[in-house]
Parts: sequence; C-alpha cells; structure tokens
Amino acid sequence: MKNNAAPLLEIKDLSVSFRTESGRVSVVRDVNLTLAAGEIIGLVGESGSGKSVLSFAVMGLLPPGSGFIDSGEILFAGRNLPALSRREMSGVRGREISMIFQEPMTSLNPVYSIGAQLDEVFVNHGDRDRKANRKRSIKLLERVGIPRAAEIARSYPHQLSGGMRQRVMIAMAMALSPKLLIADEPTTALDVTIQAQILRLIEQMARENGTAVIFISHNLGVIAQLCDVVAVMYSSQIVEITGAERLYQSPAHPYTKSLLECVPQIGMSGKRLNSIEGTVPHPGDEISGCRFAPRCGEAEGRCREQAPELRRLAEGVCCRCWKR
Amino acid sequence: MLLEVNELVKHFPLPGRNRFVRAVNGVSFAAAPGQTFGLVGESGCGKSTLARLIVRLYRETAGTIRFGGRDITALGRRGLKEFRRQAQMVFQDPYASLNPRMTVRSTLIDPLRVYRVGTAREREKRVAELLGLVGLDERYGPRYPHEFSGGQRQRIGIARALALNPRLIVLDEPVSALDVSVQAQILNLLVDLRERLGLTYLFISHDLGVVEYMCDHIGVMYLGCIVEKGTREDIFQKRRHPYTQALLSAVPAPGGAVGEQIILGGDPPSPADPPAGCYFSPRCPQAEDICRREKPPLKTLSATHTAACHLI
Repeated sequence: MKNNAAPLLEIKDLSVSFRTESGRVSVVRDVNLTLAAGEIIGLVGESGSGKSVLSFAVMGLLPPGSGFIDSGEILFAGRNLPALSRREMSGVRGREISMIFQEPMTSLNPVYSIGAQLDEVFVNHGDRDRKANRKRSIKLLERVGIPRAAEIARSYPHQLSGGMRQRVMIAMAMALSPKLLIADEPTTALDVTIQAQILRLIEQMARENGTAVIFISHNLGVIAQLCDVVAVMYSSQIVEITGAERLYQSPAHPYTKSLLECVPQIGMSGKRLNSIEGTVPHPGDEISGCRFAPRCGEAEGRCREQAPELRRLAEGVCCRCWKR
Repeated sequence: MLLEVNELVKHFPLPGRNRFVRAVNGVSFAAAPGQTFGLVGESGCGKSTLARLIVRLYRETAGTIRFGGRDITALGRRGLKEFRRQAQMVFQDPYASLNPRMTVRSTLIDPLRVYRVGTAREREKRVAELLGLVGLDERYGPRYPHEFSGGQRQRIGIARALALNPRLIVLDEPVSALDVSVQAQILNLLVDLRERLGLTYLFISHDLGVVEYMCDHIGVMYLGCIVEKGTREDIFQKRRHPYTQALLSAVPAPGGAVGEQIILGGDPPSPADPPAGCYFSPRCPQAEDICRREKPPLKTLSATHTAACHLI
C-alpha cells in the first residue's frame, strides 16, 4: 500500500456474480485492492475462493452472458475498465495488461509453431513486418532464458517441456512490455526445481520493466517468497491484506493463521498439523455474519450475526474480523 | 523388514528396436513394520511406477521385491490374491479413483465380498466401522461419490484400502489434489491410523514438506534411481547429494528458501534417453569429468545414510 503516487490499479468495492441454473451466485464480494507500478501482489486462497474470477474480471474476460460485474470499479491508469467498449478493452489486453495461466499446455495453440504464436502478438497490435517480428520473437525467447531460441521458435508446443512452455507464455505476456501482468497459478503444474526458475524469471522481468504483477497462488510459500504484498481470499472475499514478510510472522486474520498452520514446513516434523475443520462454504451460500465464522475457533455471537468489514489495523495491514 | 526392494528395474518398450523408457533403474530400499518410507522426486522420476510395481500392477523387468520375507515377484494368481489382501493402495486423484456408479457402502463392501470375509451382517458392521475410522458419518453409506468433497472422497479411498486390514499401504500422492486446509486433515488422519492399526506406509510425494512430516525414512529419486537415502534427519539436515540439496533449496519458504537457493538449469533429461555417467550430471552445478563418464557408486555415509555421487 504505497500512497504517494496514484496507484496503477485500483479495485473499488468490486462484486462479481455468475448466473447459474440455481440463480445468481456471488463469487467476488466487495473487493478493494490497490496496486502501484512495479509492485508484486500475491492473491492467495483455496480453490473456489474467487481469486481467479477476480483476475478474469480485471482482464475483462468474464464469460459473456453468465459472468457479471454487479458493482464496483476497476480503475486502471485512470480508466474504469468495465466501462470500456470491447474494442477499447482489446487494446488494453496484451499491450497494457497481460496474463499467464496455470496450464502452459492448453494455453498454447498446438498447431502453430512457438515463433508464429509470438509473432502474432505483434501482428495483432499493428506491426506487420514479418522478418522484424520474428527477430523480436527470438529476442524475447532469449530474454526468458530459452536456449537455441531460433530453433525453438520453429518448434511446436508439444516438443517443449512444461517449464519451457511456461517460459514461452511469459515471453508472450511480456512481448509488449505491459504495465500489469496477471499470473494465475503459473507454477502449480511445474516441479519445484522448475518452479524456482520460473519464479526468478517473473521477478526479474517485473523488476527490470517496472511491471506490476498480480500473482495468484494457493501456495503460501511461493507467495511469501515472491510478493511484496499479500491479499488472502476466503469464500469470495478478501479477509486480509498484509506485507509478505508479516504474513508468516504475524498473520492477523484467524483464517490466515490456521491456513499457515496447515502447511507442513520443513523442520517442524513431529508436531501435529493444525487443520481447519469443515469445508469452504459454497460461494452461493448466504451466511449471516462472517463467512469464516462456521469454521473459526475464535468465533463468538457477533461473528455469526454481523458481517465484518475489511478494516485497517496498522500501516499496510487490513483485516476482516471482529476480533482484531 | 516388512518390504524389501532389491535392484528393481522397469523398462517400458518404445516403438523401434532396443528403445525403452527406463522408468525404474535398479532401486533398492527397505521399509520396517510400523514405519513410513517416503519416496520423493519430481515428475517422471519413476516414483509412481515403483509404487505400481510393488502392488503388482506392473511386472518388473528385473530385481526382487520381498514382502514379509517372501519374494512376491514370482507369485501366481492365488499367491497374488493373498498378497493384495495385505498390501493396498491409495491413489492421488479422489475423483478418478472411486467408481461413480457405486455407493460408498458397495465400494467398501466389495473387497470383503471378493475375499469372502464375514457374513452379510458382519460386512455391514465393518462398513460402519471403516467409515468411523476415517472420520465419516456412517449414514453416508448409501451415498454416491459425487455427493462428497475431495477430502471426503480421499477418506473413502483410505477406508477402502483399510477394509481388509492390510499391513502395508502404498500412498501415491494422497494429498496432492487437495486444498491445504483439507490436506492437513488427511495427513493427521493417516498418522493416527498408522499408530492405531500398526500400519506400514510407502508414501510417495513431490512435496518435501509433506514428506518430512510423514516419513521416517526417505529415498530421493531422480530419473529412475534413488540418489540419496536415509532417515529424515539424514535427508533434511545432513543431505549430501547435490540433487537433494538443490531440491530442498528450491522449496519456496518465507524469507527465502532453506539455506542458499540453488537454481538448477534446464529440465530433467528424458528417461528414454538418459545421459552417460551420472544421470544428474547435465544439471549438476558441481559436475566434473568423471561424473559425465561413469555411473556413480552408492556410497555409505553412515549406518542409515547412502548417496550415489562421485564427489562425496
């Protein structure tokens, strides 16, 4: 939370819902988030917490006809993204905001060569010189640490390993030097040694280009290592925003605390793991009071009756809990 | 030792002459009763193939597997059936490993029926008992898998593995598909069951934190071989093999990794075309000429600790 300059991205009271057979389901509720240029923010939460939907909303990629922004604003460099026309939004995507996904296999087109898919980024944004485009593509591949880049540009996705494919995705996302990169679980499908390479690469790209990053993950260790700021999501809400180093030392929200105690850390064998009883509520469940109260060890009467707001506890720390 | 694996090899043939995927390349280890032996390694290192060899879902290319002192690689149909009563498996994906058309009750009763255990009434009683053991309500019997969450399904998979009172359970990435809060519930359950029922586990995972939490002895696999093997302390505190060191340092942790982070270049080589010498040499930051020429011997570092590296 840097307050000095105008933030690059400011999400204000954002709520998103999906139309389903059983009615409207709220999947993102009252999210407030700000991100400065060059900052890396981690969005952490378990499956179904709404972290991916939030990023799709920012990208303007909610499924048309079924996903809706009910209220709120997404201000990006001064413009409210949901208010842009489809055409204006496609100008923003790729050039100003780009995204990488979890599954590098399904995100690349299997019938085009790597080079062709990279070239396309430039073509779509108006550069038609084929030779120059290919040169730029090869240079990009080199920058993300792909050996024999010219040769790899001629190969097809299936010929590359998962780690290499994710590097290609990063190259594609960074092609037009966007101001914001959204990375949705980019290392979840990868082995730890490859994950370490990719994390270092994302960090390096962000620092070199001054790109802000929203890094989505369910892995607290990854988030703590890479990010400056962490937002913890639970059941479609942000329950805590805090500094990455503070996340482990002094987590504020009871959910964050329990979540940290659930993860076996190297060096703590022998101690019994904490577990959070019960399961994450369905996003559509209307819960009076705090959405974590049914599973919270500290919950009292008020927690079950009144929904807490996200409140500022200290410099850089916000928490949605009555007891803090 | 309840389970002794000796120089186990599994090669899968590929089209063309003399081409094989060398999934498991001479693996040896032993698991004592009541203990958990962990196998850790990245995808493609052969850990799942090894699990399947041990429960006899695959036939080995060479080597022996002894269970309770008997070689089980030579078992016929009858012997195999008896062996499987004592050795069961829990799979990674709780969505794919339960039959969607069978109720929980019939999933749990099936093994009892196959092995003709008890009367109809006793079997029903056993189902209720099994559900209780894994922390599920006994009224869940008539329900179908789709009515359960991932964590509950994994409990059903564990109950099924326990149905016949086995001595050994092979757990192949049993918590990898689960959210962390649920993962902790399942790991605690597995620890309790091991103590209550005196079980022996072979626990396979790519998650080092989970392996440290669960396992007494650990083997680190790379490209079909165990490169380092020892007690939990040997592996986590006194690790010697450069791969084990890199693997541990790659685990993201708050405020940086454990010790100096070693970032390995490149990807693991293909098990169809392994490199000459030490299989880890192309990525090893310390590799010397001998590493690229000769396969390293297994060196004994202490009574419990071995590693295969020229430079140790």
